[in-house]
Amino acid sequence: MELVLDRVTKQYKNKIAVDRLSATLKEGVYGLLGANGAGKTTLMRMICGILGSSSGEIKLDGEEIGAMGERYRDLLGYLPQDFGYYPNFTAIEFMLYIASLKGLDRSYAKQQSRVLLQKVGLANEMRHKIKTFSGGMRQRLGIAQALLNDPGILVLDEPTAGLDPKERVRFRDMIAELGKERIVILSTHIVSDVEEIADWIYLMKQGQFIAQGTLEELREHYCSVTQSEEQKNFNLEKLYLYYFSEEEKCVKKF
Amino acid sequence: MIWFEWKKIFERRLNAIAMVLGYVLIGICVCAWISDASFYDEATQTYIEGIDAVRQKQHVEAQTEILSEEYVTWLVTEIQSAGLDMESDEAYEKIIRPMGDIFMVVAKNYTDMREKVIDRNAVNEIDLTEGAHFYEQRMQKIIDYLNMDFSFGNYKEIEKEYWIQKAEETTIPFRWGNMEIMGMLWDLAAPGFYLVFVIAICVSSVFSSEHESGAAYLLLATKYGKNRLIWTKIAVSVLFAVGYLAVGILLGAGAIGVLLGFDGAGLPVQLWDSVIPYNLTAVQACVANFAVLILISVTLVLILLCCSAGLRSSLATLVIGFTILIAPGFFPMSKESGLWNHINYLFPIRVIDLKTMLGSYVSYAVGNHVISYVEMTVIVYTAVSIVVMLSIKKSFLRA
Repeated sequence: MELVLDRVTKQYKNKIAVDRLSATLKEGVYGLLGANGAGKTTLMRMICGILGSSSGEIKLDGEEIGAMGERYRDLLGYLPQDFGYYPNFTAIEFMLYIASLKGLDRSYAKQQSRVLLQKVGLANEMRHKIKTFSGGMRQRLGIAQALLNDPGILVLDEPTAGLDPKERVRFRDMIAELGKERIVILSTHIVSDVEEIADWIYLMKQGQFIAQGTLEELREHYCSVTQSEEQKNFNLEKLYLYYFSEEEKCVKKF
Repeated sequence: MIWFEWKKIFERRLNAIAMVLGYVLIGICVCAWISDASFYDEATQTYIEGIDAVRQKQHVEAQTEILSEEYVTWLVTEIQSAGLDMESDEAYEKIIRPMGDIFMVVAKNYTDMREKVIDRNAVNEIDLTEGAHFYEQRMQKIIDYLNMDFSFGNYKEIEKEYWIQKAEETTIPFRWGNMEIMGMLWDLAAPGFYLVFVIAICVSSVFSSEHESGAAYLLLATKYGKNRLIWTKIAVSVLFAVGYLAVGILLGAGAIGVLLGFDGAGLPVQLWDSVIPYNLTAVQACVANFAVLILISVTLVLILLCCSAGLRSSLATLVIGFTILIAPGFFPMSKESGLWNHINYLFPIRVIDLKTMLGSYVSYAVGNHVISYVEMTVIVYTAVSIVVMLSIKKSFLRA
């Protein structure tokens, strides 16, 4: 499976949210790192086919995703950022509702919902209404619904937001595991999340990738741009701060 | 999917409250109509009220089975022989009250169509030399009306022919009987119209709540989110509107039927107004009225769904819905523009007054064809429904 972004652009009147982005994604975990307003969410919505591009194309195995329609969305699992849940639905009802939208057979949907709720630690709360859930529980439910159709492409927008440190560690492991056999794209502004699990990292600013690579490559990149020899002390946060605190350097591309 | 969309509508607290209040209103109206019914019992010289009044009235007012020329002539002779001013209290006590509705039906037949109030003394002016000519007068009155000069434009010849032919096809002589119960059944359309407001409240959030909560992005990324979900939401909303309205009307009609029966169902609508050119019985007219009400609500639902999908605000959608329902009530009829009047007639608040509109001779001449008001209502609302329905998907997908 190969997802190709070819000079993808999204323009809203005078503002360019996503600016001529190109990337080729295969099985693995891809981390999108950037400040608020960098264009991460817009890009994710474009990858999910929710937003069309102003120019450029997104192709899956050579076929444009818009033309694929339902076939593409059938391969997709998406966790939007801060999305609303249906407060009067129970967790299992919510899962079954999303399963029906994903076209899953009812008996399979029931079974899969139970397995996933168990996996995210909500087995005991599956009959509870979502309005009684904490933010972390809702986020876990969101992750569970994204996995319902065993997606080939998993798009997670701020998946660890609202989770406590223990849950975050658990989910990092889960995402890393999922990335072995599918394309996982996750966006976050929590640097350590990306650092731990992403096979490939994109640093995004003003709609553009300002740096990208594996953690190792970014480390080398950091040392070369900062003329620093402290490779052992390198962490992604330093690179992030380098780009996002010094405006004049942000135009540099890796 | 259908079940979950259904659940979303029913589990919203505001919707549940509005739905219950709508049905309570129907109950209050039926109770009020029955308790307000009164009948003056000549024997005991007292007023009877409530269910007994309706029953007594039906019994006493069954003066004849057919409103024949002979009967009307006899009736008018009786009235004229009293030599009373029909606007006086004495005439009311001696003639109008004992005769009941039949006096008003006859008097209205001899009142000019442009008059809004029945000219009771018109009965005194009838020339009885060769009989009352009740049905001849009815036709003449219609012809006179069609040939009048109106400041906003006159009837075209093709329209005159159309209406005259339609009026002539009406079955005469009219069967006679008491229309009290059928009147109540007809009036159910008024509280039924309030149910349309409830429906507006319930469906205004169908799409917008997905936008407001941010769930729309999740839904649109699912396999059926861009197609089947949208049609499911539309189908569920329309079914809800039809179901809610139908249940409300059935509850009201059922209560009336259980308490009073359905006497008068087979009587002609001309007993409400002799000039009505539609060959319908009272119950057929009531069913047609409810069908129009359902059509209005379905169209409104589709308009609101389109607004809900496009505006992404339940409140803004609701404001639009209420505006569509209420605002046209304040639109005046023009003295110059027939076109404006013909448009004005098609707003929901006017369509709902079908009893008046049935006898108003409003028609739409298109080339060599004449479309009656009822037909035009069905055409316009169906066309609007189709256009709007096709726009809903586009609006929702513009995420």
